[in-house]
Amino acid sequence: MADYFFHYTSRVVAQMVLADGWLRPAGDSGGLWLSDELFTSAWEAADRLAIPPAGPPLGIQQTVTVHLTKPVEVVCCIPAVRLNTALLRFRGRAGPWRDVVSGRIIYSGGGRQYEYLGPVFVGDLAWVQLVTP
Amino acid sequence: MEYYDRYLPAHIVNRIGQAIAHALERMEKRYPGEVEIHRWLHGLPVWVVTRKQGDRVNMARVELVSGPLGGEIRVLADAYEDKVAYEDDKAVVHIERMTPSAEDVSSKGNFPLSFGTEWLYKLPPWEVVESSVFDTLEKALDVAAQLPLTEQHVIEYATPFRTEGA
Repeated sequence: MADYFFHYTSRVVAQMVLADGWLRPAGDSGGLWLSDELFTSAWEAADRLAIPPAGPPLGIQQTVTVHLTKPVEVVCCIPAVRLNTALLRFRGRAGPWRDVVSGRIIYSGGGRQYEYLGPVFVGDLAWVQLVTP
Repeated sequence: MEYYDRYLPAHIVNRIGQAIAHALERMEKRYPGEVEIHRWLHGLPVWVVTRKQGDRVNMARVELVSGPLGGEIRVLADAYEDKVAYEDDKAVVHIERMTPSAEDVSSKGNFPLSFGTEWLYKLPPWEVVESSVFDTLEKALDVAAQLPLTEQHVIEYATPFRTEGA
């Protein structure tokens, strides 16, 4: 098993988490989504983990760059020893994410993803700013 | 769970989200251990149902698509199969991923669910919405299994983060 797991999210969500100190599974949205892969670029994280955009991605018609509509801006680095392995499920590699109308692949997927079915105290952990396009 | 959307009233979005969630619960009960449900919350709720067929993964994605003039539920059929080019305990160089073409997904796997232009004002019976979503998911998973995997994508792969030996 990896020594560290990573939770990718936006700055706003990170601030809410830090105010509370805990990352918590969000009800019927399932558990916490983690990866054992560390990406330094926000685009790469969103692409490999196929983190869905909210609404149509901007700029897909005009340029190669797809701007994220759901910001993936920071990553929380969680030591594996902080997780209860009984609550950690490997959910395979992320599938591709397509534009719902054109069918064009927006995010390639392929990143390893885990679902963690419990809360994790992260108030004392490092959050890393990702490079954004 | 509270859902929200920039265009649709919160009570409608929440009720639609609940109807879709109930349809997915029915899927899990109908096909125990056979289907997996991935739930996402990034503003709008999004769900992905997967069913494995050997190394191939068939998928149906459900999402609420909205705009200034209204919205609809869309179900998209998709599939992929991965071949790992090189992997051991320490490194994976890349994954070769086969997928259907965008044209096939768009023409054969696209299932918009509309409940009429007045549905945002005169809400449909929710059991009808649940039933429609459930039936469409079954159809989408069947279509996903039939989509030919004609496109190859090479995905560079990061190494799981380990510190031993560093």
